[in-house]
Amino acid sequence: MSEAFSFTVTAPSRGVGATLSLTRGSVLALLGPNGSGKSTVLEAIAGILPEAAVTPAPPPRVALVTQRGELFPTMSVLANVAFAPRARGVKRAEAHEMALAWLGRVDAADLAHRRPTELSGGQARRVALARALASEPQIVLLDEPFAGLDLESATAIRALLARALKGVTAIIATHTTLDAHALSSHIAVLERGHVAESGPVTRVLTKPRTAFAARMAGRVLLTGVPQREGILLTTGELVRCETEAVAQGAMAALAVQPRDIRIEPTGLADVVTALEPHGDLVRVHGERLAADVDPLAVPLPQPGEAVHFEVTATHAAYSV
Amino acid sequence: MLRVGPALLALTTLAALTGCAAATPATASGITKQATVDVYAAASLTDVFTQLGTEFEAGHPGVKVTLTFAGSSELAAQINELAPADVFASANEAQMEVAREHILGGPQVFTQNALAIAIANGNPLGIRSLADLARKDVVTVLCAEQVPCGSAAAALFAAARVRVSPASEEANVTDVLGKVASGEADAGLVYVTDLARAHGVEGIAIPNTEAAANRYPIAVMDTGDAPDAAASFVAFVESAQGQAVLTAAGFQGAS
Amino acid sequence: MTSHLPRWMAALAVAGATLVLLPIAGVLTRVDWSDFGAQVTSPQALTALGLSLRTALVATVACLVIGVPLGYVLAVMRSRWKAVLRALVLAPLVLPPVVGGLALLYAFGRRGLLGGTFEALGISIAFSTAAVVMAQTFVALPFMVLTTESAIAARGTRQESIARMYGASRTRTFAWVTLPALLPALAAGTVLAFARAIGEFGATLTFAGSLEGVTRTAPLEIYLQREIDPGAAVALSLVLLIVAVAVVAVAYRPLTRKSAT
Repeated sequence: MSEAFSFTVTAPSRGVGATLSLTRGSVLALLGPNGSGKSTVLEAIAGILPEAAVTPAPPPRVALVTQRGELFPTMSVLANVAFAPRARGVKRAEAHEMALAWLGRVDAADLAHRRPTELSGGQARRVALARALASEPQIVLLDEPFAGLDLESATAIRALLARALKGVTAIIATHTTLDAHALSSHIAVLERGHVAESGPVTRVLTKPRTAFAARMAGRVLLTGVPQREGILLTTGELVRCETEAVAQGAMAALAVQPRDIRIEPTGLADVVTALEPHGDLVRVHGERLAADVDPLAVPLPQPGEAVHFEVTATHAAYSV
Repeated sequence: MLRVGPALLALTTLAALTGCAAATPATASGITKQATVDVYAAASLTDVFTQLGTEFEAGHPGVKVTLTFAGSSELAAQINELAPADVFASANEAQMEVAREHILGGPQVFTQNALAIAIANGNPLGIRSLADLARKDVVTVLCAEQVPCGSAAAALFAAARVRVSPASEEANVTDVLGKVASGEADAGLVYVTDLARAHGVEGIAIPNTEAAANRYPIAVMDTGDAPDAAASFVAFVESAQGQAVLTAAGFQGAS
Repeated sequence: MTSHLPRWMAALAVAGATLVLLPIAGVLTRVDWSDFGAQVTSPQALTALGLSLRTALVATVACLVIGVPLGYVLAVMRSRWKAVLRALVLAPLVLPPVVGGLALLYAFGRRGLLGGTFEALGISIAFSTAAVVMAQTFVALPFMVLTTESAIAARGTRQESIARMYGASRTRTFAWVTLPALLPALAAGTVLAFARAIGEFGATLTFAGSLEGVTRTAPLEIYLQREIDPGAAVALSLVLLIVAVAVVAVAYRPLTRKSAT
């Protein structure tokens, strides 16, 4: 397996056509909302989706950990984890030793002789992870490893993954940016089966180039022609910001977090589309922008009302 | 006021009808008009009794003959369950014994059926006698010894001093015939009468086969409702005309 | 499990049970108990019963060996011929057994499709115990195929995909993942196949013949006894009935939702 490689996954029956780039020994986050095709992509690379094609063919040893764990129900936990080594010809006793060691690394050694049906969701996922790692795969694929877990379990698994994935080539599919930040170095944003944007994690999440990626990162994207004072939007409105960093001849973009946007009559014109609770604030969504507002301090505009958003603080625009 | 007229008419009609049923005059020949004789006969008698029934009806206008054919043991069992048989014609005396409680008149042995060898058309193996059935290259099937055609076969083999190893011992002669006809078996012992009506097989006569023939008894049973007509039918079967039909089909004489 | 069964359906269920139980009760009333012991332990009866048990066991094993793969293939094949193939494989279920026997003759009998080949090789199938096993296998196979196909179709092959992803060979995958999960269905299929095999009559009679100790199984012995001693036939029938009921009662567990996964 070379240092850097990419796969193109095509599954026309599921509307998926995506190209991912991986670097050996690093983790790629596959970020997208539910239904964007993340599971399809992972299952295709794992080779368990017959209706998908992957070019070039992935390396032979790939391990997928699904949301439901999908352990073999007729075997004990230990036998599950020992499955891959034994399938490769390792003798039973040795394979069980290896399995026990891996179970220890995922804090599940005490579950060794249980049956999969006796495990909780979090336990099953840890065992599935041990099973995957015990197979010594060239790529580890994790499908929503934190879905359906309570805060404590999720935190434990996050710490576990941070340890276990050091130096491992992996793809983690997730719909929350926290996981992407915490565990991966690169990210690919998946929109309806296609990669909208990809690149280093911090860059994509703080300086997204597509509205979709910005939305996934929880930011508002404004693009336009760079001026000395700021960005000139297509609507003719000027958004004040620093534009020195924008390259000659390129368009400028600004990705602002809603907490840096206020409702001000002097701001950009918009129409309220939705109100979303956000901690003890309320995120007022417009068609173009959004702002986090304290409902006790300011009267909330209602959906359908006209509203003006102003970007506070000075941000630095970047090239797109 | 009572409507006597219609009531009286109804009453007298009713009386006339019941009176008719009860007081049907007997004719000179001893059978009632419009009687039905239910004959239960062994399967091997199917063709001959169908013909005998037709001839009997022709000679006795107003009498109908219905025929039920099955294995003798089954018929005996049904008669014991009070199936409405007027006449029972069995393929062997043992089954007549089974139904003896219901015998009204008889039994009389009215015919016999002897065995012959059934072989494939064209006789490819050149079989000529019972001794050939003991050859290693001949697949023989017989009736099981406990059934009449089987005991007759055993007697014939013993008389001819031939020891045969059959590939199968069937429960009835139809199954034997079937296996020879389909080519699964090369030879089998079946009734002479079966050969007459079978396709796809040829027959080879067995010398002195009458010595081991099965005796067929016939009797009037009390389970039926036309004993006089039944007796008349039995007499017909035993008459020269009836015996001629039997002999033509291959049955042996009653003696 | 509470019953929400409509009351009129309960009445129909009772009628159904009666339809099955009355004839069985009828047999019980016809048995001559004083002769029963002697009749069912006669050398002929014991030979026939022993032959029935031996051949039915072999036939059941044969059904496992060829029925399970066939059921698996039917469950996973994607072809427009799937429905046709399934209908053909299940044909013995609806064929009158005698017709089944004839069909076997036309294939394997002396004048059958393979008859010439067998004779040249010196093999003779008809009138042999092997023919009995073949006839029983022929009629019992659909039960094994059906239960296997249903179980695999219901479960899907996801587990197998995962096993293969981890490098297991096809055989290992089948032995370690598929087979243990199929056990409840296999048990049900085995019991049904055995019960059907031991009760087989028409095909055996036509294809294998009837020779004591070689091909005369218990049903054929009953058929013969009907011509000789109907009392003995009834007695032997009761024994077969008891065997069939016992086998099913002890071994058949209906497939629950849990066992089908």
